[in-house]
Amino acid sequence: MVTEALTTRARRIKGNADAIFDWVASSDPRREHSLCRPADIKLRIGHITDMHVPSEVQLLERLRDFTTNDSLTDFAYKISAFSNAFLHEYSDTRELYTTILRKTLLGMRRAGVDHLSITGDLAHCGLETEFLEMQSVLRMTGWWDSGQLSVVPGNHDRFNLYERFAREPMETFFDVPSTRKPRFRELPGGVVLFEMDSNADRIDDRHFMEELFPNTVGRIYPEELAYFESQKEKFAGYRVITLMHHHLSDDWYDIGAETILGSLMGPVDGADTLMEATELIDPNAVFLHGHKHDLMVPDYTIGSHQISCPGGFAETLAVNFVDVTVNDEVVITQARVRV
Amino acid sequence: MTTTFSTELSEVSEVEEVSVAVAEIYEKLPRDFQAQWEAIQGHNPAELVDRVLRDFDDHPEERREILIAYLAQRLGLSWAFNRQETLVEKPLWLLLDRKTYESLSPGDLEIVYLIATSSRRSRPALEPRAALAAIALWRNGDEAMHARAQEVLLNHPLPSDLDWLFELMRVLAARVTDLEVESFRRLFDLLSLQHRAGFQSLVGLALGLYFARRYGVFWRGTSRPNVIRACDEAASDYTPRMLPWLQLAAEAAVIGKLTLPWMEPLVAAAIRHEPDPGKRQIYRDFHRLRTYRITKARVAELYAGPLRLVRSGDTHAGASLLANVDAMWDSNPARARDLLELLIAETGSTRGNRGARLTRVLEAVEDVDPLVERLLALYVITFDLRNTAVVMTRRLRGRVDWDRFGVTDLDLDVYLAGADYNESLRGQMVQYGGLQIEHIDKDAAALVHYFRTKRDKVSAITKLVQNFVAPPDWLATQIGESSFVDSLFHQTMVSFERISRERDHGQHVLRLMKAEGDHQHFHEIHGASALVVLRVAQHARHKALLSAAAIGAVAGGLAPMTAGASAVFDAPFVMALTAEVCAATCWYFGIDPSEDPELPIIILAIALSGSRTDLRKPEDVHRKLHSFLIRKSMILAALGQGSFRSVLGPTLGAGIELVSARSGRMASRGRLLRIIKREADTEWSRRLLTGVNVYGLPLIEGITGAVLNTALMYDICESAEAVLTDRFLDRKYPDWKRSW
Repeated sequence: MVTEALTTRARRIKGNADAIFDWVASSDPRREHSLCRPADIKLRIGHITDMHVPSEVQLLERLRDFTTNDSLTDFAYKISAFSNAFLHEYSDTRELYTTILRKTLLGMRRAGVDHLSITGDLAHCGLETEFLEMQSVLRMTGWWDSGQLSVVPGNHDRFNLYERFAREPMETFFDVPSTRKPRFRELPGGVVLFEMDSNADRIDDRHFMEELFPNTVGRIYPEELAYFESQKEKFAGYRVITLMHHHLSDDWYDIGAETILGSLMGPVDGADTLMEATELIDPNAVFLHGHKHDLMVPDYTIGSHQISCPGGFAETLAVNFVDVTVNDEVVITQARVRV
Repeated sequence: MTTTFSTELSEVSEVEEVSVAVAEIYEKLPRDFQAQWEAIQGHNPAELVDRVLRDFDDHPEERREILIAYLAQRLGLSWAFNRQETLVEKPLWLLLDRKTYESLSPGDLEIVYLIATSSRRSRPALEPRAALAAIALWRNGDEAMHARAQEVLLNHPLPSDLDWLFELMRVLAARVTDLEVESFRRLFDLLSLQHRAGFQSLVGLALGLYFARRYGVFWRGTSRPNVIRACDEAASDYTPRMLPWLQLAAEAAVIGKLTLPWMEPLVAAAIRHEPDPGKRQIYRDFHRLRTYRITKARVAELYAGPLRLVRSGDTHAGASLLANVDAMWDSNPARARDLLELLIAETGSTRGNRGARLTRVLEAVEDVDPLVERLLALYVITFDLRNTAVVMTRRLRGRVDWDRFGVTDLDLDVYLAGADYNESLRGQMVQYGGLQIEHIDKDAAALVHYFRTKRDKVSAITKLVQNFVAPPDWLATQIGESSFVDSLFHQTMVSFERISRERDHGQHVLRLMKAEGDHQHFHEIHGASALVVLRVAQHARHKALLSAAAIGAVAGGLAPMTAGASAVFDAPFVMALTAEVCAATCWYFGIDPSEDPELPIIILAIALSGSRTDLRKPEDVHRKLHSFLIRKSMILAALGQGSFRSVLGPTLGAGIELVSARSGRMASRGRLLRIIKREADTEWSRRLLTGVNVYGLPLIEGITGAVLNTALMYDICESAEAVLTDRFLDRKYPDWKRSW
């Protein structure tokens, strides 16, 4: 049984992070191949994305769903639901997946992470049970209610394949920003996180393809840029790290048919403007995102901006450690949990 | 809001003194590559450099795009014969060739240098094209240019993109290319330069790819196993010319504390061949820690010899391997654990693979020995998620001196709580649907919620059968739908239900539950996790589905031979099975159906009419089932009674009737029927239909019967699970709002 004591004690866990993770690569090629917290940093942020925590699914149940269709759209949604559920790496071993997530987040404790950032797609089908499962993982590992956690929504958290049925939104389970309403979170060491929901507005600005397939499109709205601008005096001189779900560019992965045919899974609309806007505070603002499940090299940049995406966790089992050095430089180190 | 870059550009283009050509380039940036390409054509390089430097000082990416486009034109690349992707990358690759490089003018070389320095200061590594430009200048430039390029390469590492780096190794390691330049400008010198600059990770990566290129020409160079294999070969294929490469690998590994798996054979070879004892000792000290990240299979491969000796009883080999484990304890505990497991597996019987041998040895452990003690500590340190590891650690927790291995109570508690899925969830409450429930019951609550929401309509198959209109002039219809048969059906169902209710499945269910957890008495099932109960209930579901499919397949398959009679006589079997499933499933949820006799009826009503049905009276529910079964039997009987032709003919006729009635084109009907009849009357079609009648019809009938029965039984099982889970949660949580 998880007692309060264990949850709190998990925060104090120490040890060898290299026993849990494999060092993969670092944006600083001078760094040693170790995940121990370096002495020259003032802040370490753990970045994990697209965990897609699955729920209990049964093949026959999903096949039975196909026997009642209201429309072609309904059928397309069910196809989407079916493939979504069964293409998950751990769809039939979800308990193991939960323990892998626990191991990863405890490993981040061992690595001396000060703040944990999750850039969306915590849930696989946006169901309550999936949010609760992820919540239990965060609770067990001591990140829940610790004030050291930032979560932004992904497209899988916002739509769900049963969206026509009554369900609880992500906000019921997680404290997250919503579309057009971003927010700042100040961290120690002159670092500020810009947390935003990069999903397109599902009510007032729904993408045409969502008639058939659920929300996979990201968009930056003027309200979000205006909000950023309004805070520029307050955070002048800070290092800005933007947390969002959708990706900013498409030159780091193979483009699939869904992008060519349906303009789905492409970069977020308005990426250039967003990057320009962040330069108002930090000309070298860093962006952490997810959405694409490909692994991005840790030294990837667009213009003056370092960008990081450790890919879909279920596939890559990868996380990033984002270190802010005492010289305000940002070093991104990629690691893979040993399973 | 900031001024956008495009606005700035348009402002620049309005300045009068800017030449028309340059302004055009600006206007077409950054997207329209073709227009940009055309605008640059014939442009004066000096003016271009001047303007680009002045106006794109803060925009190195744009500067690079313009300059590469210019360079491509200078090298004679044509827009007509190359794709854009080729034009923006190829010119720099071409420059690695000395002859191509020498064809450029001094002005052009300045442009190459501008490209080499077009990476932003904030960028961790050189942009790939900037890196190529820098390498080209460093390899082929005069002394001054070589020095300038060297400065760039000392300040920035090469890109770590594997495909790019492998291509670079492929091009530069080609013997002809590498020998055409002076000895201090070769690939080895480039990597040494990066090593001197402190970019050991990059050097390690590049060395692996270099050997992959050299020893695995036909392999995929960027595949990790291939790189390891190539380095293994390189290490065993020693020639004196290899020594500097091995020394470089060892130096980079030691200074950068590299963990790349392919460094292991290279460093080992460097130790073997290094003439300087001091350096050799430094390499050896690092190598002893074995920080390289390798898989367990690779560990087994590397230690195959000593492990064989252990199997043959060589205690010295065992002690040596144990010393290895201790040496890696802090530096690479995962590898230490893997090696220790292999070692322990060798101490057991020879039967089975290593995994099975290890499991057998561990299961037999009663008193911990030094090996097992170490292994358990390593399980905790590495947070091993395997079930064997967790079970062993829990079982032997009290018998290990954990302090000796630096494992604290906190480490142990957190490990056992985290690696066991259920351990940390026990007793944890969550809010679901406005109610506090145990975390482990959330999926069951969701099952009820989604069943109630999603299954408000019957399936398409059930609907099809229910809507089947049996011809009223058929004798079977008249008998089957008579009130006498209906009343008989109801009485029979009541009897079947009574028999099923009275059958006690308690002990059988308890046996299954014991396998899932610590349940000694039937009434303890109420307190179990709903998920475990549902998992056990799957036994009933699987049996029911298989039985239904078998009955349907036999009834359908025999229908053509029995003039459809078998299709009718499967009804009693399905009735009995239905009654049995509705009652027996209750036992799995800790409910004795004889205490709650209305439950089987509710399950059946929901299965036949959807989750929102108000049907509750047994006679109404039985009538619904009767109606379903009689129609299902008629479908099978109709199929089996005659031939395909007798089924297809009326169906086609009805279809044409329907179409012509809707379209009003009655005149065409007769013609269409004549055509169909004429085509169907050919010798070929007659043979085909006879063949299908003889061999195909029973098969199709069998499949149809199995599908119809399975669809019905699935709905019954699913509604049974939902209704009973609802009841189960209602008993467990007093505030639970029951759905049925």
